[in-house]
Amino acid sequence: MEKFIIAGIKTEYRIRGELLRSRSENYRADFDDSETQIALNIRDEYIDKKKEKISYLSWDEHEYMWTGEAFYNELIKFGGMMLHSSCIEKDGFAYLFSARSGTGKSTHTHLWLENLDNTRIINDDKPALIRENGVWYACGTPFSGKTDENINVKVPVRAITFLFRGEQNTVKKLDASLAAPLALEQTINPYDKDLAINMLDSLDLLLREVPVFALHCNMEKDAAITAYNEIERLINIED
Amino acid sequence: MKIKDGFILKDVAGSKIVIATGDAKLSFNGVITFNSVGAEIFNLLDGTNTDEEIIKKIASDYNVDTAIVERDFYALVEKLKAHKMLDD
Repeated sequence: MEKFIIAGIKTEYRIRGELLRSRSENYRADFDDSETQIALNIRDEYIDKKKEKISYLSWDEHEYMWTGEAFYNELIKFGGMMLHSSCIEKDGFAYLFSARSGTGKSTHTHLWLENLDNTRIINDDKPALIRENGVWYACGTPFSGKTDENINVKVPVRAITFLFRGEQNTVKKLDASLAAPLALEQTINPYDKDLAINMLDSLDLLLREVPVFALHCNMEKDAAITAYNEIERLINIED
Repeated sequence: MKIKDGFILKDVAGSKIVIATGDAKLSFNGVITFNSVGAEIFNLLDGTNTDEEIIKKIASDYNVDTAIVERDFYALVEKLKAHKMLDD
Protein backbone atom coordinates (compact mmCIF):
# COMPACT_ATOMS: atom_id res chain seq x y z
CA MET A 1 0.00 0.00 0.00
CA GLU A 2 1.17 3.54 -0.72
CA LYS A 3 0.44 6.56 1.48
CA PHE A 4 -1.35 9.80 0.72
CA ILE A 5 -3.08 12.61 2.55
CA ILE A 6 -6.30 13.48 0.75
CA ALA A 7 -8.72 16.08 2.12
CA GLY A 8 -6.61 15.97 5.26
CA ILE A 9 -7.24 12.24 5.71
CA LYS A 10 -4.34 9.79 5.97
CA THR A 11 -5.13 7.32 3.22
CA GLU A 12 -3.49 4.16 1.90
CA TYR A 13 -4.12 2.32 -1.35
CA ARG A 14 -2.33 0.12 -3.81
CA ILE A 15 -1.39 1.43 -7.23
CA ARG A 16 -0.94 -0.72 -10.29
CA GLY A 17 -1.77 1.51 -13.23
CA GLU A 18 0.03 4.60 -14.50
CA LEU A 19 -3.08 6.80 -14.43
CA LEU A 20 -3.75 6.39 -10.71
CA ARG A 21 -0.02 6.77 -10.04
CA SER A 22 0.40 10.05 -11.87
CA ARG A 23 -2.81 11.57 -10.52
CA SER A 24 -1.90 10.59 -6.93
CA GLU A 25 1.63 12.01 -7.00
CA ASN A 26 0.78 15.41 -5.46
CA TYR A 27 -0.96 13.78 -2.52
CA ARG A 28 1.86 11.45 -1.52
CA ALA A 29 2.69 11.63 2.18
CA ASP A 30 4.59 9.86 4.87
CA PHE A 31 3.03 8.78 8.14
CA ASP A 32 3.18 5.92 10.55
CA ASP A 33 1.15 2.80 9.69
CA SER A 34 -0.77 3.17 12.93
CA GLU A 35 -2.01 6.61 11.86
CA THR A 36 -3.81 5.38 8.74
CA GLN A 37 -7.42 6.57 8.67
CA ILE A 38 -8.58 5.12 5.36
CA ALA A 39 -7.16 1.94 3.84
CA LEU A 40 -8.58 1.02 0.46
CA ASN A 41 -7.97 -2.54 -0.49
CA ILE A 42 -9.33 -2.93 -3.98
CA ARG A 43 -8.69 -6.38 -5.37
CA ASP A 44 -7.61 -7.01 -8.97
CA GLU A 45 -10.64 -9.23 -9.47
CA TYR A 46 -12.95 -6.35 -8.55
CA ILE A 47 -11.38 -4.16 -11.25
CA ASP A 48 -11.45 -7.10 -13.70
CA LYS A 49 -15.19 -7.46 -13.14
CA LYS A 50 -15.81 -3.75 -13.67
CA LYS A 51 -13.69 -3.88 -16.84
CA GLU A 52 -15.82 -6.77 -18.15
CA LYS A 53 -18.99 -4.73 -17.63
CA ILE A 54 -17.68 -1.50 -19.17
CA SER A 55 -15.06 -2.63 -21.63
CA TYR A 56 -14.44 0.64 -23.49
CA LEU A 57 -12.56 1.96 -20.44
CA SER A 58 -9.05 0.64 -19.89
CA TRP A 59 -8.04 -1.35 -16.81
CA ASP A 60 -6.09 1.67 -15.57
CA GLU A 61 -9.09 3.93 -15.98
CA HIS A 62 -11.21 1.48 -14.03
CA GLU A 63 -8.62 1.29 -11.27
CA TYR A 64 -8.53 5.08 -11.07
CA MET A 65 -12.31 5.41 -11.11
CA TRP A 66 -13.09 2.72 -8.53
CA THR A 67 -10.31 3.78 -6.19
CA GLY A 68 -11.90 7.22 -6.25
CA GLU A 69 -15.34 5.75 -5.63
CA ALA A 70 -14.01 3.76 -2.67
CA PHE A 71 -12.27 6.82 -1.25
CA TYR A 72 -15.43 8.93 -1.48
CA ASN A 73 -17.44 6.17 0.17
CA GLU A 74 -15.01 6.17 3.11
CA LEU A 75 -14.99 9.97 3.22
CA ILE A 76 -18.60 9.81 4.45
CA LYS A 77 -17.37 8.24 7.70
CA PHE A 78 -15.42 11.45 8.32
CA GLY A 79 -18.52 13.60 7.92
CA GLY A 80 -17.56 14.58 4.38
CA MET A 81 -18.92 13.89 0.94
CA MET A 82 -18.15 14.21 -2.73
CA LEU A 83 -20.17 16.52 -4.94
CA HIS A 84 -19.98 15.92 -8.68
CA SER A 85 -19.06 19.46 -9.64
CA SER A 86 -16.38 21.67 -11.05
CA CYS A 87 -14.82 23.56 -8.17
CA ILE A 88 -12.97 26.83 -8.66
CA GLU A 89 -11.19 29.02 -6.15
CA LYS A 90 -11.46 32.79 -6.35
CA ASP A 91 -9.82 35.10 -3.79
CA GLY A 92 -9.36 32.26 -1.32
CA PHE A 93 -12.89 30.90 -1.48
CA ALA A 94 -14.28 27.83 -3.25
CA TYR A 95 -17.25 27.99 -5.62
CA LEU A 96 -18.73 24.67 -6.70
CA PHE A 97 -20.78 24.25 -9.88
CA SER A 98 -22.74 21.05 -9.97
CA ALA A 99 -24.80 19.57 -12.77
CA ARG A 100 -25.37 16.41 -14.74
CA SER A 101 -22.57 15.38 -17.06
CA GLY A 102 -22.68 17.28 -20.31
CA THR A 103 -24.33 20.43 -18.92
CA GLY A 104 -21.13 22.49 -19.01
CA LYS A 105 -19.81 22.67 -15.43
CA SER A 106 -16.23 22.58 -16.54
CA THR A 107 -16.86 24.94 -19.44
CA HIS A 108 -18.34 27.41 -16.97
CA THR A 109 -15.48 27.31 -14.46
CA HIS A 110 -13.02 27.68 -17.34
CA LEU A 111 -14.85 30.89 -18.26
CA TRP A 112 -14.08 32.04 -14.71
CA LEU A 113 -10.41 31.17 -15.23
CA GLU A 114 -10.27 33.23 -18.42
CA ASN A 115 -12.33 36.20 -17.27
CA LEU A 116 -11.90 36.61 -13.53
CA ASP A 117 -8.72 37.41 -11.59
CA ASN A 118 -7.15 35.29 -8.92
CA THR A 119 -8.85 32.03 -9.88
CA ARG A 120 -7.70 28.42 -10.08
CA ILE A 121 -9.42 25.04 -10.44
CA ILE A 122 -9.45 23.01 -7.21
CA ASN A 123 -11.00 19.90 -8.71
CA ASP A 124 -12.68 19.88 -12.10
CA ASP A 125 -15.09 17.03 -11.45
CA LYS A 126 -15.25 15.50 -7.97
CA PRO A 127 -14.08 17.73 -5.12
CA ALA A 128 -14.27 16.42 -1.58
CA LEU A 129 -16.26 18.42 0.91
CA ILE A 130 -15.32 18.20 4.57
CA ARG A 131 -16.53 20.02 7.66
CA GLU A 132 -14.16 21.22 10.36
CA ASN A 133 -15.26 23.28 13.37
CA GLY A 134 -18.50 24.15 11.64
CA VAL A 135 -16.83 25.32 8.42
CA TRP A 136 -17.16 23.51 5.10
CA TYR A 137 -14.04 23.14 2.96
CA ALA A 138 -13.63 22.01 -0.63
CA CYS A 139 -10.55 19.89 -1.27
CA GLY A 140 -8.66 18.88 -4.31
CA THR A 141 -8.24 15.11 -4.63
CA PRO A 142 -6.47 12.84 -7.11
CA PHE A 143 -9.92 11.97 -8.43
CA SER A 144 -10.97 14.65 -10.87
CA GLY A 145 -12.66 12.76 -13.69
CA LYS A 146 -11.48 12.96 -17.28
CA THR A 147 -8.91 15.69 -16.66
CA ASP A 148 -6.02 15.95 -14.25
CA GLU A 149 -7.17 19.36 -13.08
CA ASN A 150 -6.90 19.17 -9.33
CA ILE A 151 -4.67 20.79 -6.75
CA ASN A 152 -3.88 19.63 -3.26
CA VAL A 153 -5.55 22.42 -1.30
CA LYS A 154 -8.33 22.88 1.23
CA VAL A 155 -10.37 26.03 0.72
CA PRO A 156 -13.47 27.30 2.59
CA VAL A 157 -16.65 26.96 0.55
CA ARG A 158 -18.35 30.20 -0.47
CA ALA A 159 -21.28 28.78 -2.45
CA ILE A 160 -22.68 25.71 -4.17
CA THR A 161 -24.42 26.43 -7.45
CA PHE A 162 -26.49 24.07 -9.57
CA LEU A 163 -25.97 24.85 -13.19
CA PHE A 164 -28.56 24.72 -15.97
CA ARG A 165 -28.27 25.80 -19.58
CA GLY A 166 -30.13 28.96 -20.49
CA GLU A 167 -30.21 31.74 -23.07
CA GLN A 168 -29.71 34.45 -20.46
CA ASN A 169 -27.43 34.41 -17.44
CA THR A 170 -29.43 34.47 -14.22
CA VAL A 171 -28.70 33.44 -10.63
CA LYS A 172 -31.37 32.66 -8.04
CA LYS A 173 -31.08 31.65 -4.43
CA LEU A 174 -32.14 28.02 -4.21
CA ASP A 175 -34.13 26.82 -1.24
CA ALA A 176 -32.17 24.11 0.59
CA SER A 177 -35.11 21.70 0.33
CA LEU A 178 -35.06 22.01 -3.47
CA ALA A 179 -31.29 21.54 -3.54
CA ALA A 180 -31.39 18.23 -1.66
CA PRO A 181 -32.66 16.04 -4.53
CA LEU A 182 -30.35 17.83 -7.00
CA ALA A 183 -27.31 17.18 -4.79
CA LEU A 184 -28.26 13.55 -4.26
CA GLU A 185 -28.20 12.99 -7.99
CA GLN A 186 -24.62 14.29 -8.04
CA THR A 187 -23.00 12.27 -5.29
CA ILE A 188 -22.38 8.66 -4.35
CA ASN A 189 -25.33 7.00 -2.66
CA PRO A 190 -23.65 4.25 -0.63
CA TYR A 191 -24.76 0.62 -0.72
CA ASP A 192 -24.42 0.36 3.05
CA LYS A 193 -27.50 1.62 4.87
CA ASP A 194 -25.73 3.21 7.87
CA LEU A 195 -23.28 4.94 5.57
CA ALA A 196 -26.17 6.23 3.45
CA ILE A 197 -27.78 7.67 6.59
CA ASN A 198 -24.46 9.33 7.51
CA MET A 199 -24.25 10.83 4.04
CA LEU A 200 -27.79 12.22 4.23
CA ASP A 201 -26.97 13.74 7.63
CA SER A 202 -23.86 15.43 6.19
CA LEU A 203 -25.82 16.68 3.19
CA ASP A 204 -28.45 18.06 5.55
CA LEU A 205 -25.78 20.11 7.34
CA LEU A 206 -24.09 21.16 4.11
CA LEU A 207 -27.28 22.53 2.57
CA ARG A 208 -28.27 24.31 5.77
CA GLU A 209 -24.84 25.89 6.25
CA VAL A 210 -23.67 26.77 2.75
CA PRO A 211 -25.51 29.19 0.42
CA VAL A 212 -27.00 27.34 -2.54
CA PHE A 213 -27.91 28.85 -5.92
CA ALA A 214 -29.34 27.93 -9.28
CA LEU A 215 -27.52 29.39 -12.27
CA HIS A 216 -29.03 29.41 -15.73
CA CYS A 217 -26.31 30.33 -18.16
CA ASN A 218 -24.98 30.32 -21.68
CA MET A 219 -21.38 29.58 -22.62
CA GLU A 220 -20.21 33.14 -23.15
CA LYS A 221 -17.79 35.31 -21.20
CA ASP A 222 -20.63 37.20 -19.53
CA ALA A 223 -21.83 33.95 -17.90
CA ALA A 224 -18.80 33.89 -15.60
CA ILE A 225 -18.92 37.59 -14.74
CA THR A 226 -22.66 37.57 -14.06
CA ALA A 227 -22.46 34.33 -12.05
CA TYR A 228 -19.70 35.66 -9.81
CA ASN A 229 -21.25 39.12 -9.32
CA GLU A 230 -24.74 37.79 -8.68
CA ILE A 231 -23.60 35.06 -6.27
CA GLU A 232 -21.64 37.64 -4.29
CA ARG A 233 -24.50 40.15 -4.37
CA LEU A 234 -27.01 37.56 -3.12
CA ILE A 235 -24.65 36.35 -0.37
CA ASN A 236 -24.10 39.92 0.80
CA ILE A 237 -27.85 40.60 0.91
CA GLU A 238 -28.22 37.60 3.24
CA ASP A 239 -25.42 38.80 5.49
CA MET B 1 -48.35 -3.77 2.05
CA LYS B 2 -44.78 -3.10 3.03
CA ILE B 3 -41.91 -0.95 1.75
CA LYS B 4 -39.01 -3.15 0.65
CA ASP B 5 -36.02 -3.38 2.95
CA GLY B 6 -33.24 -0.96 2.11
CA PHE B 7 -35.33 2.12 1.36
CA ILE B 8 -34.68 4.98 3.75
CA LEU B 9 -36.66 8.14 4.33
CA LYS B 10 -34.81 11.14 5.78
CA ASP B 11 -35.43 14.80 6.19
CA VAL B 12 -32.64 16.56 4.32
CA ALA B 13 -32.64 20.34 4.70
CA GLY B 14 -36.43 20.38 4.87
CA SER B 15 -37.01 17.94 2.05
CA LYS B 16 -38.38 14.45 2.75
CA ILE B 17 -36.15 12.25 0.70
CA VAL B 18 -36.22 8.54 -0.10
CA ILE B 19 -33.20 6.73 -1.48
CA ALA B 20 -32.38 3.05 -1.85
CA THR B 21 -29.56 1.22 -0.12
CA GLY B 22 -28.34 -2.38 -0.30
CA ASP B 23 -29.97 -4.65 -2.89
CA ALA B 24 -32.88 -2.23 -3.27
CA LYS B 25 -30.42 -0.13 -5.33
CA LEU B 26 -30.58 -2.76 -8.05
CA SER B 27 -34.18 -1.83 -8.85
CA PHE B 28 -34.11 1.84 -7.84
CA ASN B 29 -31.17 4.17 -8.14
CA GLY B 30 -32.73 7.59 -7.88
CA VAL B 31 -34.22 10.01 -5.42
CA ILE B 32 -37.87 10.57 -4.55
CA THR B 33 -39.20 13.50 -2.54
CA PHE B 34 -42.40 13.23 -0.56
CA ASN B 35 -44.70 15.78 1.02
CA SER B 36 -45.44 15.27 4.72
CA VAL B 37 -48.51 13.08 4.07
CA GLY B 38 -46.57 10.92 1.65
CA ALA B 39 -43.76 10.59 4.18
CA GLU B 40 -46.18 9.54 6.88
CA ILE B 41 -47.76 6.94 4.60
CA PHE B 42 -44.28 5.70 3.68
CA ASN B 43 -43.49 5.20 7.36
CA LEU B 44 -46.80 3.47 8.03
CA LEU B 45 -46.18 1.01 5.18
CA ASP B 46 -43.98 -1.12 7.44
CA GLY B 47 -46.12 -4.25 7.20
CA THR B 48 -47.85 -3.78 10.55
CA ASN B 49 -50.79 -1.70 9.28
CA THR B 50 -53.61 -2.56 6.88
CA ASP B 51 -54.52 -0.12 4.08
CA GLU B 52 -57.70 0.78 5.96
CA GLU B 53 -55.78 1.53 9.14
CA ILE B 54 -53.35 3.81 7.32
CA ILE B 55 -56.15 5.66 5.53
CA LYS B 56 -58.07 6.11 8.77
CA LYS B 57 -54.98 7.39 10.62
CA ILE B 58 -54.07 9.94 7.93
CA ALA B 59 -57.70 11.11 7.66
CA SER B 60 -57.81 11.68 11.40
CA ASP B 61 -54.28 13.24 11.66
CA TYR B 62 -54.98 15.75 8.89
CA ASN B 63 -58.70 16.07 9.53
CA VAL B 64 -59.55 15.19 5.93
CA ASP B 65 -62.39 13.11 4.49
CA THR B 66 -61.55 9.38 4.27
CA ALA B 67 -62.61 9.22 0.60
CA ILE B 68 -60.04 11.87 -0.33
CA VAL B 69 -57.26 10.19 1.65
CA GLU B 70 -58.17 6.84 0.06
CA ARG B 71 -57.77 8.31 -3.43
CA ASP B 72 -54.39 9.87 -2.54
CA PHE B 73 -53.25 6.73 -0.75
CA TYR B 74 -53.82 4.48 -3.76
CA ALA B 75 -52.28 7.04 -6.09
CA LEU B 76 -49.15 6.96 -3.91
CA VAL B 77 -49.20 3.16 -3.79
CA GLU B 78 -49.25 3.09 -7.60
CA LYS B 79 -46.24 5.43 -7.62
CA LEU B 80 -44.39 3.21 -5.14
CA LYS B 81 -45.22 0.13 -7.22
CA ALA B 82 -43.96 1.81 -10.38
CA HIS B 83 -40.63 2.39 -8.61
CA LYS B 84 -40.63 -1.22 -7.35
CA MET B 85 -40.52 0.05 -3.78
CA LEU B 86 -43.17 -2.33 -2.40
CA ASP B 87 -42.73 -5.93 -1.37
CA ASP B 88 -44.73 -8.26 -3.64
